[in-house]
Amino acid sequence: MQSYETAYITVKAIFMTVLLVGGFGYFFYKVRHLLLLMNAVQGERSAVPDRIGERVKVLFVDILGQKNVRRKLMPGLAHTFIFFGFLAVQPHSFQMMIQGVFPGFSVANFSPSLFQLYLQVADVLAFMVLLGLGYGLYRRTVLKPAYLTNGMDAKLIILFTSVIILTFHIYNAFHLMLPSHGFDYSRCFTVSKVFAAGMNLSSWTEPALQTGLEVTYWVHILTILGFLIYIPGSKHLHLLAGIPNVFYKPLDVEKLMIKTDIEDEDAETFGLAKIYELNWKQVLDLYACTECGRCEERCPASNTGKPLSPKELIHELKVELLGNADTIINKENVESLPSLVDDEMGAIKNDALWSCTTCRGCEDICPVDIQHLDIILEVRKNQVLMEAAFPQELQDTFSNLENQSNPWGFSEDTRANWCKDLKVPLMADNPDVDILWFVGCAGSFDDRNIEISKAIASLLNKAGVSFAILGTEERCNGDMARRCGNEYLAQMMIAENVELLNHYNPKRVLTGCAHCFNTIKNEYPDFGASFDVVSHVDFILELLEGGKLAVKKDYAGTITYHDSCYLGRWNNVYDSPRKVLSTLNPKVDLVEMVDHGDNGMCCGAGGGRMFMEETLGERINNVRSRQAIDTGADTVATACPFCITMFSDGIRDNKGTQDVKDIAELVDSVV
Amino acid sequence: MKVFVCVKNVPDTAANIRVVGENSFDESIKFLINPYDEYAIEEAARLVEKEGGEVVLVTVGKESAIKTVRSALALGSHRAILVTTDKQFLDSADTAAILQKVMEDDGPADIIFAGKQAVDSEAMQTAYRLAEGLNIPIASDVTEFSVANDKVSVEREIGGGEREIIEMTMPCVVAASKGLNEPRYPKLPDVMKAKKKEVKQIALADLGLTLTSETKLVTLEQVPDRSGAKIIGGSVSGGVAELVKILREDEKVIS
Repeated sequence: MQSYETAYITVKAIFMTVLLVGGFGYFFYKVRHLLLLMNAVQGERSAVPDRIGERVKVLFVDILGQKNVRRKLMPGLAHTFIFFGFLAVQPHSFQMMIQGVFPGFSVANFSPSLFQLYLQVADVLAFMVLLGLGYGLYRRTVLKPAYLTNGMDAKLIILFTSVIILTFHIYNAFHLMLPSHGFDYSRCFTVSKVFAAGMNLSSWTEPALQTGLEVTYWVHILTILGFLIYIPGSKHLHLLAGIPNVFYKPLDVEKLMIKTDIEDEDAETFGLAKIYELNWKQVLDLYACTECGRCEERCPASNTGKPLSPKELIHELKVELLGNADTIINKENVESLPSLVDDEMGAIKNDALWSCTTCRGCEDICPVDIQHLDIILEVRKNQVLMEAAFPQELQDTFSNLENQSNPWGFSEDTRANWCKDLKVPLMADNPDVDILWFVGCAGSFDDRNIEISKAIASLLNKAGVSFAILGTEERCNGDMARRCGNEYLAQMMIAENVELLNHYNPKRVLTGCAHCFNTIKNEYPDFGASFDVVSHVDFILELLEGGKLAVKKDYAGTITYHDSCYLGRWNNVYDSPRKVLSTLNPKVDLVEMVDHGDNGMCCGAGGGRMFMEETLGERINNVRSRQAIDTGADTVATACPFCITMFSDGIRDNKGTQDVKDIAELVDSVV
Repeated sequence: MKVFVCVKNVPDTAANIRVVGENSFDESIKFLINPYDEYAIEEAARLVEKEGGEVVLVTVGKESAIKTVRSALALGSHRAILVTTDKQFLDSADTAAILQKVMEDDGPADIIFAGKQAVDSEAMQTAYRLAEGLNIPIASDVTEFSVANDKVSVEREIGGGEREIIEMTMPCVVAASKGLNEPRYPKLPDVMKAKKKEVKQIALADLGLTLTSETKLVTLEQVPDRSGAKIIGGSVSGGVAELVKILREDEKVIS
């Protein structure tokens, strides 16, 4: 061996040692900083995962199966290619690093056949990355979807990854042409072989090949190390945070709002006021965001020109968090950090905060399971309870709820007037019935929704169901107040209802309203009332399937069904309404709107938006109603009183001719 | 600065009143702060937040009014005095005399705020009678209020969209109308603190007053339901013709 070669190997080993220690050292330093920050935030949340078995399964399905990512076909496939290909080349790169320090090292020395197999797979998968990146580049330069953050960050990441993969192939192309010292590379590199041919390496001299190999080596290693230290500060942090965030995702569709102990006399603050009050999981949420923009594409507020984008919200919070990381980690006077909500300087602007309809479209579609609402709802809670800051028009609604226990302020003693002349018994007189029907405020007071209550009553009587209602004893279920941040008011009403329900101890609770359904079913157990709660849609299906109700004539006309968010995304009730509707006329198929099922678009009324003015951008119910009109269906069916109101207005304002009906009314008209 | 606010515990106007017997009603309905008093409470709170001092609420009512007093205390007031009676409706002169006695006993007021009327009895007299008793100036229907150099300046509605501006020396009575301010919504910590604020309860009998009780509540009657409105459909010109015909022939209000 010539002396300059020996010298080069020594210098290379020294350089590599310094680079590896420096690169990995800096990387781990940055990661440690991020972990310290996660540990320093003051929100409380257990880090002990429950239901481990299910979570491990999630890793297989969501991560290895790339299930969420592939809900968008082309970007999903591109991501899958990049994900597996990038992972596949890592052991090879790692070996290259070791070889830089210990030139004789090779996995081939331990198990040539295994190494050969690995290289064969990695070579093909690496090429898949290039396909994925090609699509990514095409999407970012030609398609340019509006929801996609298309900054320097993304382009740098594509550049880094491309160089790493290209140099992987080129490095191996050189290897193919050089003496192999006992290991046969020729059968490993299907793709790299093409690179060798393309670069016409067979005409290169051995010293030229040797030089090429070394140059490629350095480009490859330096790019990887550069990428490594770039990752923790970039959106590509999702590489590290995405998988744990998915692992810790809520396993159930049904989710609770956080129950705040409002009687806690030691509590200095309620809800989420400042960035250091996040919990570790919420910090992980922020780390995991890769700004793919699927949430923004889904968000009914973003889509109608309102100043809320779930993606921007997460991004702004991440900027706020990382910008104050040292203060939070060192616990230096964190109280002096600014409030999250401020129209001038805050990470969250009032109009954005109150534009959310809590439809959960963002959470549902997020490939890394970020829980946007855990933040939005807690911030609202803080604004109402600590600052009394909320849209002006809600003050009357809050007062109405407080005084008359319904959002409109009808006298509470008229709650049962809608059924004065009907056969609708009271729980007080019939405590032993099979079904306690919780009618809800809309179904009791709102003229249009009273018709739906009458249809439900008619169905129950036709089916001979033993049921009763609470009548004037019933209170608002609390959903509206809770989602508007008024936890105090909500808990007052919830406490009264819980006491009442426990007093009657019903076998089963039936609801006609998606919001009542969600709150009583999922949130009341937190307050001490656990009952079997069934939505009227599921119950009607039961009656039909059980032969208690029989369809006597076909429903005339085509129907399109609008998924209420609080039945669908909050409770996974997608199939039963469609099953019910399909029985109305077996000869006519249900027609679907462009957005439906878990991809459905909110009517605009959730999260208390029903009781707020909608002055920003276009009205959500108009956009959604036009989707319904575009189906050409004769009837728009839904199963939530707020959706009924929103569609009735939207269809009328857009000169649609569709009837807007609750499923109960449609069924009642044919049985 | 010592600011008194007169607060009445009244039935929610949204609630249906059910008359019971000759002159009483079912009081199981929701009671709350007289809505006009909310403006008074808010203005007093803002004044003291700016100038310093204390806001003392004074309520004359049944013992059950304590709930309303507590909720009023969450709106920026410091303490309250509740004079308990056994009747919801008192003669306005009696109420004013009771308020006057309480305020004199508690120490001199710099300003007294009240609502311009109570939404249950609608007598609109108490604030005037109180000012008369204390021999201090009063302005009612106040929609703007400011204080400078011991002088109070108020703007008040005088009907027909007209407003007048009055300057008064202190102490004085200011009776608030809608528009004076936007009453605050209580923050949760304020609701919690209000539970612990001092509420001095005095039975009317212990006040040592001789009341004149010049008016008596004889009967309470349900207001009859409004007869159904008639909606005239069709074209505008046809509708107008129809309306004129009804006014002329059926209602005979035009000839």
